[in-house]
Amino acid sequence: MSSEVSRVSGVSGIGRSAALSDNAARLEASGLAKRFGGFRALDGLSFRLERGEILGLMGPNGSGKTTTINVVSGVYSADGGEVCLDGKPVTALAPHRRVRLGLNRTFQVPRPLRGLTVHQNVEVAAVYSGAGTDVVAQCLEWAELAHLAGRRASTLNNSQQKRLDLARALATRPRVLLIDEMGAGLNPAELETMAHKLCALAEQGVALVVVEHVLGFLQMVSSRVIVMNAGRAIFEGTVAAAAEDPEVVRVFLGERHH
Amino acid sequence: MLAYTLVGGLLFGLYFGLVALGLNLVFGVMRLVNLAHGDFLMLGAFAAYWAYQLFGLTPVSALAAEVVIFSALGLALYYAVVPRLLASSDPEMLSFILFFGLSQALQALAVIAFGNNPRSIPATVFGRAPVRILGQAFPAAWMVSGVVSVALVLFVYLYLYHSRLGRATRAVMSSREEAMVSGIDVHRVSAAALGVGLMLAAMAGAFSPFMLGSIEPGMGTAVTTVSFTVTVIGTLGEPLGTVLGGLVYGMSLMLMESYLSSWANLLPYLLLIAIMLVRPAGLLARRARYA
Repeated sequence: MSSEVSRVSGVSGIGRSAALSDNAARLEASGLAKRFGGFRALDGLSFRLERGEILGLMGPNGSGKTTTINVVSGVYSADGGEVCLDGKPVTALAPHRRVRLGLNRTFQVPRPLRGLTVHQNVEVAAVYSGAGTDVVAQCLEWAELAHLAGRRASTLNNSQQKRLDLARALATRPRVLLIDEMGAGLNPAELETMAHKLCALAEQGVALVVVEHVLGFLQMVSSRVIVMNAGRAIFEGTVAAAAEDPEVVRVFLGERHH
Repeated sequence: MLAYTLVGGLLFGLYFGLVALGLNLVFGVMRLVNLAHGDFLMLGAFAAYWAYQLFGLTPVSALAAEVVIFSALGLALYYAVVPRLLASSDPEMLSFILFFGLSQALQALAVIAFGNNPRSIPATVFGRAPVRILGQAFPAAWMVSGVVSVALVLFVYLYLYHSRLGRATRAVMSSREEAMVSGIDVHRVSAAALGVGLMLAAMAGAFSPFMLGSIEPGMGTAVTTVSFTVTVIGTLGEPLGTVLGGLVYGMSLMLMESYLSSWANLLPYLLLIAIMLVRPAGLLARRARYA
């Protein structure tokens, strides 16, 4: 209904947001650290995300983008730092608890529940997250999968699996949604449709983190991007400014030359 | 002779399906091979033995107690060990070492507790009269074991396909991470699977005196090998495929023992090698890929 209102952070009554009175961010990560053996995948990453905002996360391969999503969603436990949802720390919670609080994510390579139908995949998420099954049809419609509802998830193509993963995440009624590489493998028309859909979600108040290689896609959806390298944020600002930043250019070109 | 072999093979096949069912369920959910599976079967066998010796209970009556004891043991073992294991950098390797160590520890403890003497429960515990099928006489214990095996497979089917927990369990088996972010408590599901897995092993153990021979502390290692073979034949991670694996194994075993008995001990290894060469993903592989 009121996109103008919902864009103003912390004011609107849409959704079931807690802590409207204080100025806590919808999602705040501070000093996130994650090591894999001797490799520092995340090395003190911090960022804030407001209600209805779309934050882009970019950086060369291995810079820690997907690890960020894994740590924030709880699929990996953090070695240091804190994740707060509406001001409340969730760092110690198991992934399913975070899901039930409204924090969800998609996967770069979705692995849907293959033996189940498309409808059942979304239904499982709706049921176990406590969102209730009345959202299922709506989510399938949103992801343009309603006509495939009875198909087995294993028979879907790449683009359909990605949309199913999104529908699955939406069925848990997220307040924060972390999206890992939506653009890879989508054609330009599909990319544009997806960008519109994500913007519409943000207008409804969902805060999104979008990890993306496709710059054009990021430009369509996010006003603010963070560029990562070696587990840290090296730049924060608009996509256009990122392209001008010497450090960002060095990091990306450096990757290309070695 | 052939009729006897086929009916016997069916009964043994159902039983071997039960023997391996818990191993495959645990593997399907946790992606860890429980190398102590056979040792829990051994403990179940001793539990049935002592229930008979001390209270005169038949193995069927002892099942109720085994359900409680071994599912509780599975839950406790899960929460004591697995979350820590999964947090390590190489859970698969560590789990092999850990479950192998557990297997050795259980065998050593069983020797201390029960001694090394083989024990058994008289086959007449289910009555002296043999059961006649197709004109062949079979021990009543074989029939009881077959019926219990079918009942427990049915239980696992209902658990997996007609319960809320089972639906979550299948989701975890299909994709652990997608299950997590669908709001499923993966630890609770896995703990339940290990509880059910140990319970099934122990219940299979209650019939081992009639189906596998005498009960002794070291019997678990061979049982784990057989279970692994049956599981691989029937497709790893596909619990109900275990029944098919069991039938193939049981039928082959009876055929070997009837016509080529000196080779029968080689059977698990021969079948394992054959399946690895011919259908490495298991007989139900194509279905499992979609299930």
